[in-house]
Amino acid sequence: MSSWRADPAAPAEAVLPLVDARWLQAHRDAVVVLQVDDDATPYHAGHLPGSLPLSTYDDLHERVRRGPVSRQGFERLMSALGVGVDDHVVLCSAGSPSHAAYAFWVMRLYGHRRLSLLDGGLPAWTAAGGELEDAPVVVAAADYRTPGRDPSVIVGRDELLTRYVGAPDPVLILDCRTEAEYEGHVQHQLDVVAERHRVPGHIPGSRNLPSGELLEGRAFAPLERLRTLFADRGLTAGSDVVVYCRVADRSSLLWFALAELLQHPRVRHYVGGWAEYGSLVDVPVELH
Amino acid sequence: MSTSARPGPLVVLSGVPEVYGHGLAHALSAAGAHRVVRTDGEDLLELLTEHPAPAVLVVPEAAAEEVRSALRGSPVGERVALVHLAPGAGRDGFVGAVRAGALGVLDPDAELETAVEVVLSAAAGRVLVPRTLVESLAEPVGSAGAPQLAEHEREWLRMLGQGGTVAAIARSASYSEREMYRLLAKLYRRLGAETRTQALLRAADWGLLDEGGNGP
Repeated sequence: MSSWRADPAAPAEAVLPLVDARWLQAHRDAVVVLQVDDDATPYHAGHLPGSLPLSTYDDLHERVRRGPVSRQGFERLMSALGVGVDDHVVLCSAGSPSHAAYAFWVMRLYGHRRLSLLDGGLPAWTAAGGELEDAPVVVAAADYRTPGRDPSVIVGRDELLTRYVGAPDPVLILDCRTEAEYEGHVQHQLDVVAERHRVPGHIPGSRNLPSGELLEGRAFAPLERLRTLFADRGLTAGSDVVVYCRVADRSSLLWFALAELLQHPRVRHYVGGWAEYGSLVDVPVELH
Repeated sequence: MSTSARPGPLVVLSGVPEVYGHGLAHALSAAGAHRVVRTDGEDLLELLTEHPAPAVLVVPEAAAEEVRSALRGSPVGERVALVHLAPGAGRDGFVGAVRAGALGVLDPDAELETAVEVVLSAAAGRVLVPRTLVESLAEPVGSAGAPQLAEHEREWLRMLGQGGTVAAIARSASYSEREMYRLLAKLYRRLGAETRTQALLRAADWGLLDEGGNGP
């Protein structure tokens, strides 16, 4: 559904997907800043003046069933944060940038157009001389409405299995866990190997691009470097890409780099990740 | 307590380095353990068989398993107390030796006086435990290294571990969300964690998420 994508013919004022701390200092009053981490403890220790907290696991995932926050939940969340559908939102993290990238992806999923990610996160802001505050931020609630999910940025397991797994070029599945996880040499510490409730390995035919390779410290590597990394995994202009990791956080970095920074037109996020795929019965799995 | 009227225990130093063995034998003798035998280990079983009394056998840690398995098949095994000679064994080394069945661990760098006490304790069927180990055992938690948490703190972790939100925990604890986050930040730090995920993994490792775990 192309109507969901950022309009390629958008005016020059179209927002940059990645901004640095100096840009943010210059545009602070024109944007809404959301600080996203695993939870909001880092936010309450000191945050960018006027910014608001988002907690990945409390706010951006469903509470009972598994998956990204529902449409109603997302609307409630944005409304409570006072975010309007046309607001320019800048996302940043104090810790791993994957949290901000996941929030970015969730907001794109629900069609929010004006979005940026602060390169290097909160540490980059303070390194550039930006101040922090710990005063509570009070906002007036808004009435946020989204038309629903954009299916072009997400793919579920059924479509993954029928359309992508085992499909020839131009399908390209990228696994962005570590090499050891991809090859099945290690299990996550939460997995109990003996029970085989989740097996090691990867989706057959997927290529491994560990998310850490996209970063230099907490900032994204230069575009040329990113292009090379994806090209080395077989990306061409016509590639129909699916990215996944374990639980949709690291893969958000890959989705962001490919869809937003490199502007690749077909990148879908398999949010079930290996946590789901490795637990499915009777699906093809590849080791090493 | 041994008395001067009773003969001291038989102490066999098997495979113990020459100079250290000589010094230890001398110190043991001065402490009343006159029957000290040094051997390279070749005739160990014969030697022990010839002495029907209980004995203490000091062996280098590297040879301990071999000696233990030889003793296991011998009638003398039951009356021999093993002491490992283990340089810099530390807490884990000590625990490993005791788990393997030793009644003491000798550090060749320790004072000879201490070494004598270790050997005589083993002869009496007791284990002389290093102070550092006692201190770590005395920590009031189920698992060494785990911080001692109050019951309400463990409850917060359990709620997070079960998927509860901070907002819900704050409501149940009658704190503002902001105050709750500050309390949780301190709790994460005490667990040596920077994030909730790390904190929950550590708490799970220490058994702090179990009902009734880590008693007050």
